[in-house]
Amino acid sequence: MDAFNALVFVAAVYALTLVVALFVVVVVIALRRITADRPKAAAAEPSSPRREEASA
Amino acid sequence: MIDQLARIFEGISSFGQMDLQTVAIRLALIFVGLLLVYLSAKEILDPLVLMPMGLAMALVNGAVLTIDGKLTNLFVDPLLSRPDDVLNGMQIFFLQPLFTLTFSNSLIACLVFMGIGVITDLDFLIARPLQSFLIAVAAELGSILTFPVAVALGFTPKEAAAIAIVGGADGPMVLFTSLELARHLFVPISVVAYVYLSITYAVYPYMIKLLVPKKMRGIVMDLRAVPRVSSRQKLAFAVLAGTVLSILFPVAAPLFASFFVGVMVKEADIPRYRKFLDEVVLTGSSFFLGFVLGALLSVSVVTDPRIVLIMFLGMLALLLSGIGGIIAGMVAYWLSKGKTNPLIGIAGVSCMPTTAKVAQKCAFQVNKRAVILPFAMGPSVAGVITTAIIAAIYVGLLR
Repeated sequence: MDAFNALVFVAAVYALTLVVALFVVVVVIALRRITADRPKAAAAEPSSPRREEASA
Repeated sequence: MIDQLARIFEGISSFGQMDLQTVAIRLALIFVGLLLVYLSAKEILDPLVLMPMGLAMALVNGAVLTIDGKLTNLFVDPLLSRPDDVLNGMQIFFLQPLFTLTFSNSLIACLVFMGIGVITDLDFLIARPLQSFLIAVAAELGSILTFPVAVALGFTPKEAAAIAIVGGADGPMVLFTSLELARHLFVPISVVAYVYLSITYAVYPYMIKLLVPKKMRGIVMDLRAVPRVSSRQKLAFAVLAGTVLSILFPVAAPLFASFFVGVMVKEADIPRYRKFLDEVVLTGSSFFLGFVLGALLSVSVVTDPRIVLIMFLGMLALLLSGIGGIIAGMVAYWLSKGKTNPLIGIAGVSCMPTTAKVAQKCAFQVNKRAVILPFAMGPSVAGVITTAIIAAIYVGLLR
């Protein structure tokens, strides 16, 4: 493998890492929605006072 | 008479049996070992790993003796590979059982990871997953760009990947990748990584001061804006993320399993297990990690002429990752219209929790009200996971 091919290779690795990381983000967001209680799920903004109150 | 004295004081007489260059390297290693102990004692470097490492380095290079006509020591021989030799080695070298049974199979990395999992705070990662992961991916710049540089310098792709992963600033991951891809370079890469990871605490603040304007460093972030995350959510994340990542990357499944089992123990609030993983497993594995790595640094192992290149590439990897993290922090600052302190970017360089602490320290120096540690923990934890992903991709593609 020469330096140019190595650069192409790592560009692909980086892109794949980004894709997997975004997939984990999707998992986290889905999980938050699933595990939220109903009143929390109804809140439009996760950081709204209503959600914080419900969590507390 | 002289012969008898030479037999009694073999550590000294062994100098006479070496060429001048080897003697110089051996003396330098003793000096560096003592220096590491001194700097650790002064808390300039992280004493947890580097103090036992420094002591072992000094001792192993002092205690050279002749066995079967070969200059060696009684600590450990990492070059044994044949089963018979390993079995014999375990009767001779006192650290060989530890090396063979915990280093050769990456168990030590898994044990450290369990301990890291149990001290990990997932709140901000789950509250702000997108920001955390994007910063973490940007802070992997060193793990990526160092690879082609290493290839250009003559390393094989496997060796280049093992060296590049130093940019992930995650000790266990460096151990894992180098053991999987470049076992013959495992010692120099691991030692360089651990020494540099310790230095990041001293070097990154200067880099931050150079790249981030003072006004931005003191930005106060609103803790009330972070949504609360319940233990139940964190527990569910540990189980789900661990399972998903293990399905995606079976090759790194032991590391994911170790990390997320630590997180699970913490969030399930099982005090006895938590105490065990934190105080016994993490403490014990960090200690023996440092001690065995130091003992591995004998003169016969570090005479590889490429060690200077590995030192250069390790430094390059960490610097690039730091720069990537800071750039991501600046982008987060602009996107949030000045509400995000860009220093949280440096925390994306994993090395949990050191880089998050560095970010907090630099923010405090400018503004005593700037509490950013909880925010910095998000990218820091994401950095651990992202480094594991890159390591798994490297190992999966190159082994």
